[in-house]
Amino acid sequence: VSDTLERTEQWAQTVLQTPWVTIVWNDPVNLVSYVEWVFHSYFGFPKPEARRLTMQVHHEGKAVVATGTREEMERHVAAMHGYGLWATLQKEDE
Amino acid sequence: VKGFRRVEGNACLELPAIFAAELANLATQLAALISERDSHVSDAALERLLPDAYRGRDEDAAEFRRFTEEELSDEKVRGALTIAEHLASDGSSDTVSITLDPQESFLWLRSLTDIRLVLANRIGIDDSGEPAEYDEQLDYAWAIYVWLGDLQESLVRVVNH
Repeated sequence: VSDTLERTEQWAQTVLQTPWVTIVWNDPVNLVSYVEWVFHSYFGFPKPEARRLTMQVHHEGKAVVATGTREEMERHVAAMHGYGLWATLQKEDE
Repeated sequence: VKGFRRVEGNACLELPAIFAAELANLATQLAALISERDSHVSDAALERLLPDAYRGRDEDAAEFRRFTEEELSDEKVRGALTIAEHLASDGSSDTVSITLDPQESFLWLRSLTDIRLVLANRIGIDDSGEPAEYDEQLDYAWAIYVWLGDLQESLVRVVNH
């Protein structure tokens, strides 16, 4: 029983936390077509969605490309840096 | 100079040897820039290649860096050196022919990005996508930068097929 309780508590702690987000920032160097390809091939977004997010980065200066736990967002940010995209993570409400 | 073409699922490129040598040289320089970096010397190009994962949270950024920077920088160095190898010419021809499978194309796209990011910093590309202060000394670097953009665009087209 205590085991179940503990796990429930852990779950509650995670689920109630403010989610984290991965943000990709605009830069004047990366090609629109390349950024689109990264969003499509890494995150698996369908092409129109990858396009929409890329244009959002391009025109608004940034876009939230993923939401989830801090650990997941850290993995995404590291991956984006591997692609040469400028990405950061933060709490959703920051 | 023509860009990449799609041939039977691969990306093919024929480059005049002099262009191949120029790109190989840039790739080798990139590998050296990253592997010989000194964390006490600030370089905006390196800060862009290996950026902070957190804004305004220095401790978190440092912690993240401690766990990820080595792998990330090693990967970038390996990528750049692989590009340089692909471009190596035996000097017997005025052109270098390159055939990339999808995995190699993936690596090229990422490494071309890194090279362009550093070049952009060195020529002072601003938000307009062009050099902030243009002078004739930049002619050559700017031409290379524009060429690499076209080259990358052609490779994106091939992998997007």
